[in-house]
Amino acid sequence: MRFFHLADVHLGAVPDKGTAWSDERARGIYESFYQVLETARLEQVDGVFICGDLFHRQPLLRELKEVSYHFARCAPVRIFIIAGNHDPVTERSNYVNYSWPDNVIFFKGDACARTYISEWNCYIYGLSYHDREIIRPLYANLRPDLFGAAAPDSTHILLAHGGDSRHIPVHFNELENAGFDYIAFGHIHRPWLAKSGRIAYSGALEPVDKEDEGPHGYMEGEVTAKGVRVRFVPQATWTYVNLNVEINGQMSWEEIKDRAKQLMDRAVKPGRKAVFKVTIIGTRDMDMVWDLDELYRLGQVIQVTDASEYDIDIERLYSQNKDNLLGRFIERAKDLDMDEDMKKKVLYYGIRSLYDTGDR
Amino acid sequence: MIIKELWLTHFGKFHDFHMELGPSMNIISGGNEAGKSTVYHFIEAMFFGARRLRGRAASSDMYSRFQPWEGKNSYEGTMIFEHQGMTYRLYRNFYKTEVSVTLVCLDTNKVIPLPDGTLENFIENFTEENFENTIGVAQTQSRLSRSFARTLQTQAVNMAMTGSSRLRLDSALECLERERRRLRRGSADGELEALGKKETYCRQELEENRQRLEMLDGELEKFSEEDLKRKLESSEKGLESCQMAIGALSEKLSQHAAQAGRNRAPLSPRQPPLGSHGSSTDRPSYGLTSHGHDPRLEKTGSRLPVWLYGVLLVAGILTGVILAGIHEHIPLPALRLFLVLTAFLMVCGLLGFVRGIFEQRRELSGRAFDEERHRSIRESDGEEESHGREAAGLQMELARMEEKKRALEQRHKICLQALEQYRQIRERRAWEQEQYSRISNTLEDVIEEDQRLRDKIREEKKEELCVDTARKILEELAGEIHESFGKPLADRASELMNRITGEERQFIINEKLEMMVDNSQDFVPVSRLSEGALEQLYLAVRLGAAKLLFKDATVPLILDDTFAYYDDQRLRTVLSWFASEYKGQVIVLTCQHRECDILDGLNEDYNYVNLER
Repeated sequence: MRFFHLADVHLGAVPDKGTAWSDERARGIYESFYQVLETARLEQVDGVFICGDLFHRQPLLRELKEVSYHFARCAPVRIFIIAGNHDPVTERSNYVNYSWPDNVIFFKGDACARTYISEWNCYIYGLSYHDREIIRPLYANLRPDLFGAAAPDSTHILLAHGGDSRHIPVHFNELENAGFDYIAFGHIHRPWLAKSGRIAYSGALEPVDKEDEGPHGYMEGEVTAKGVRVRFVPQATWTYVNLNVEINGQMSWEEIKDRAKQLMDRAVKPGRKAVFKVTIIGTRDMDMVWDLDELYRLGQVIQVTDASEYDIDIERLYSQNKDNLLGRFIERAKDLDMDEDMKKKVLYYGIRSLYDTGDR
Repeated sequence: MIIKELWLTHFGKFHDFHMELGPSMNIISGGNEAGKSTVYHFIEAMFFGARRLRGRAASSDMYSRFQPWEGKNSYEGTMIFEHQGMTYRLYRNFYKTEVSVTLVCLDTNKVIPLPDGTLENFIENFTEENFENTIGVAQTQSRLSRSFARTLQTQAVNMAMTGSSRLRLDSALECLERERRRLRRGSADGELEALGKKETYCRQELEENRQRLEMLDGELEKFSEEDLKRKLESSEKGLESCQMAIGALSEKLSQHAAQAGRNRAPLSPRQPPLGSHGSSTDRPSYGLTSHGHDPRLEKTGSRLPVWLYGVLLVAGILTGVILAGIHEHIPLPALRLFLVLTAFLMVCGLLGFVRGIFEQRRELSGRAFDEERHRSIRESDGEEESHGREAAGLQMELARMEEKKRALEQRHKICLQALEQYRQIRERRAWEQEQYSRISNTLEDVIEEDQRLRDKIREEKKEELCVDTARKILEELAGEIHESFGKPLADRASELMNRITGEERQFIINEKLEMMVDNSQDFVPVSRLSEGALEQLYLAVRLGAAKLLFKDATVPLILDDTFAYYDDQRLRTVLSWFASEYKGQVIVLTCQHRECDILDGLNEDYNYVNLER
């Protein structure tokens, strides 16, 4: 039996809201998802496990209909869904009364339930979130035999969502030995596979916000005689890239911008799209005046951080100006009762204001 | 400290140039391009090293300026000076790859370590900065009165407020203010407010939506869809059976009518046809009014009763008879009139009477006619009565069925309406449900955005705090410096001016950071002073600063072409003060002979060095 394990699709999310590409990203999430379903259909995969947060928010009826259509289209592939903390089955949720196509099994209850698929000799377990937060460890003490007798040589797969303190805290070691052949997790947006291969987070299908760096996609798995084997399929079209632009005091602002652009062009693989988080590191000349906003215009940049330091030797500056305002300022600023990075800022603001306007 | 000898081994245009200096006044003379400024900068470089700058001013830094013309590999010099009773030899190699400095005490032959390459530990506050502000009077000042006044003002104030003639407090504060404004400009406070309003609006909408849903649910409860459907079905069935019954009855009735039509005796054409086919609700019409009179007859009724006409006739006859009897006794005109009257009466009466009689006869015949008709009708009635009764019975049955049908139709209509209403409410409810999802999603977006903005504002505020802190510190420190240095400086300068010129003047630096001078009535900007006075003030400020910074240590005063614009009188005043009152070494670099001449005239000793040997 072959399956796809995915989670945290967050349909309806608008990543990088406010930027020129946010609409493209939002649509891209849908397309990526439909792509997976299409792949499942073409490859005649047996089942698709969607482990929570299929939707970014409470789904509207028309959204459920759109997704249902695609689910129905990929029949006879069976789809198994649980609701996560972003799209919980609340009292007023559209999930409550929605009737899915025949090939979809939605584990609606807030207590773990199981379903048996005889063609695969496989039991699938799952529960849905009915609230945004669940602090009880609902997966602890969960074992297949609690649900009654099982067919011989059957496989037990648990669909789960959470794993942190406010979303069903989990002891992974305990869970490893609970008797499930595979536990398909959702909630963490980064893919992760336990050493034993028995527990995996598929990660988000496409990165949803700028903290979701690295590869994204889904887990492709197979139930073999020796157990369940999975491998990660990086499918995401979009990636968030951390770009460090190294500068020195000799570079002009135009040069720095060109360097940044070069790095951005090199970082994008063909066919993929990237959103950049630019950090400027190195030393900059005291004279350098730049408008960091210009970096946003170089491409798809979501964040710019200035981690550069001024090209001045503060100690030397201090010793040369001990008696005057500059020296005394340095002395006073160093003794401030503030965080180190804020102190540094105060120091630089003062030094720069005196330096910029002095007759040096 | 007193500089005794200078060796410009390789420095600028000088190559193995040696100079000896005296403990008090020294005049170093040389024309333009003789190298006066080079000597000045050599002394500075020996004290503090040849500064190599990066970035800005790299091409004009001291290192580049004074690289030896000959033999670029060697760039060095030596100075012998006396300090606190001991003699020292200071050697420096300026060459970039071999930079070194050595200080040896010639009296003890001991090397004095200079860990940071400077003499700062040797003499307190002996920094390059301080040198340039005080005792090193370089040849850079503009001599145009207004800008010089401003320069002086700026430098003095800078000194007073920052302790350095180069650092400007006012522009530094302005710079920080600009930063703060720039930060403020991007502030998200306004956005937060708008978002807050949107959140309130969303919550309101959500509440209204909840209420509407509740209400709709309540309304839906009143209905039972199954119930309604059942009722609808039953009324439909009922209608069907009704319709069938009505159909059957109508069929029967029409059969009856056909039968009746065939059985009835034909009547005179004057008779209106008996109408009993057609609408069964009409009563058969016999063409008679309720009174039994033919309405036609009524119309032609005479106006006066018959007997009246009879009376008129008799009256006429009587009148004639009477007249016949008495005709002789009546005058002729009157007799004629009476005759006419009599005749009239008789005629009228006769005519009316005759007509009345005719009419009566006609009526009688009509009545007789009607009676005959009644008779014939009653005859056929007799036959039809039984038919009629049957028909009537059927009619009533029909009517009842029709009534029932109407009632069922009504019920059916009500059912349909109710079902329609139910469906509408249900649709409405589904729509509201969708709205709920939509609004609650929007609300979540708003809350998320709100959080993001708050974080952003927090960061901005932190940044602003840094700027404000920097500013606060600068202001505080400037105040302190002004207190501890600026005021005494102004006082010292005033004192010196007094001593040099003999005039009492008070200088202050006011809170607007302007240097003011007391002109015995008020404090006015120093720019009001004459050019010469400004020059002197300039010196006085520097000397005052030197005194404050270096305190008791005597340090050489090096003046590079400072007196070029002094007039003779002023020059004399200054030189005589230096000669008589200034305790330290003075090195005057000049391209003129005036200084020498004046000093000769004052009979003062000085050491003379001619650069153009």
